[in-house]
Amino acid sequence: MYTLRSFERPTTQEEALRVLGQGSNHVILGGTHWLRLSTRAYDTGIDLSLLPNFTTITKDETSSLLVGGGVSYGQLEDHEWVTSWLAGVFSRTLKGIVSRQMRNTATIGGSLYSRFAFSDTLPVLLAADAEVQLARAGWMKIDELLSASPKDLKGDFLYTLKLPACEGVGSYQAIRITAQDFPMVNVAVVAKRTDKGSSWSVTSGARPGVACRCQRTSALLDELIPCDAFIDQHLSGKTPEIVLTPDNMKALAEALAQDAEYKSGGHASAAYRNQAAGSLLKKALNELGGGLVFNAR
Amino acid sequence: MPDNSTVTSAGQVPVFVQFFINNRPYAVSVAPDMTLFELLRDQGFSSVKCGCESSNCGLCTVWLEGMPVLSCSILVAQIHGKHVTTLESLQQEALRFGEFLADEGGDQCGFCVPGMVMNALWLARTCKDRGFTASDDEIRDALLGNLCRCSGYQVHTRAIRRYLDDILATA
Repeated sequence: MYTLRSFERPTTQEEALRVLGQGSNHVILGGTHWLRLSTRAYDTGIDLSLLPNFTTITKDETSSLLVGGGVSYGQLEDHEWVTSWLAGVFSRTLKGIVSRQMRNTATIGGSLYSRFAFSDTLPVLLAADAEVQLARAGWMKIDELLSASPKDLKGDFLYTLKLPACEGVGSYQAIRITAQDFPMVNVAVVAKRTDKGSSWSVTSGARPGVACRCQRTSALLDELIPCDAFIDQHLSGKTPEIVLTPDNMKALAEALAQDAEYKSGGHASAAYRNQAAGSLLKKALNELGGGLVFNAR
Repeated sequence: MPDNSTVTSAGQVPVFVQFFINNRPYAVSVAPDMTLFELLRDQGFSSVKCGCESSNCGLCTVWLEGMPVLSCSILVAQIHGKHVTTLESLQQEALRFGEFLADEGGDQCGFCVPGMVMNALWLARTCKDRGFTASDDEIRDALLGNLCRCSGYQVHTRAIRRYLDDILATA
């Protein structure tokens, strides 16, 4: 268990950044599930829960959802907007994480800001083009958060997550040794329509590196399954049929392996991840299409 | 808020915190890294136990603002102004659920039971509030955070199913 010499509870963003910048041995207290596994001695524990809009969920003028960094996974998974966003993929993803008790205190800000390689949430948010607001650095795409250097993120914290309003559907698949374990590899597939058009987006995480976009796989899916018509079918209440040949599926799995550049790590070998990711992609398409139809031709 | 008037021998600045346990108000000055679990045990709430200390086993489950949480991972300093509920204040509901648990043979060694009861009763209240029962997936999800090494969970799942049917029928 970690130790704290003192405890601070700032009430404004400026005060929080000031306290955070006062020393190098401070720690922000979120759900503290990870923190409690360490034995480090910190000077100050900082509780951000009194910051304005930090523990609330609101909508902006575009009907996108603004989620405070201190909002718990439990609050999010039960939220009506989230349970219908992209056919509930994010809500289902959250429900797969460890346990209800843990999710009721684990915060979205603490999880995303830490950019965990094994994150369940990052692949889905990346595929859905979510944005984040850091207290110091301001708004950025999840892509930028993932590629930022640790130096650029120092002394900052995640203030808001923005889930963009859009039509579409998504699936998240992961493989784990046990239900409460980290994913050995995970894949998210999202078919999304915005005012800029419709497209498929495939991402993968636990590679063992942090989640990445899989551009070739997404482009191939766009060729094979017209996204606009697929979303239309979903919105009309029909279960769309995905018809692929075994060769199509093989090409998609190969593209995914190239895009994600799976490597060996403590949880799985590169060969295993390559094999498993292809199966997860198939499982995701199977879920989205209500059962894949393989055309032998 | 930090209570800077006193620094402990360990060099820690105590934090003054006010909260409720089972609707009774508390005002305490605690070390900034004291966990809710430690405080509850100090105050005699022996239904709350510590098993894994890594947010997995669910033995230390209490309700914070009506939602199940792991008291071993929450600092007392973080619960200022909030309501904590322990199994001690849910005896009547626990007794009723316990009958279903015993009927199904789910009591077993009993070590995981207090944490499991907290989650089962939370699920029951959720079902009562919304007016319909839980799916099997919801029951399994509610039990996922309570490790049991005796039963294999089937008996608990059946006990919760029967308990939910019973309380919804009589609601």
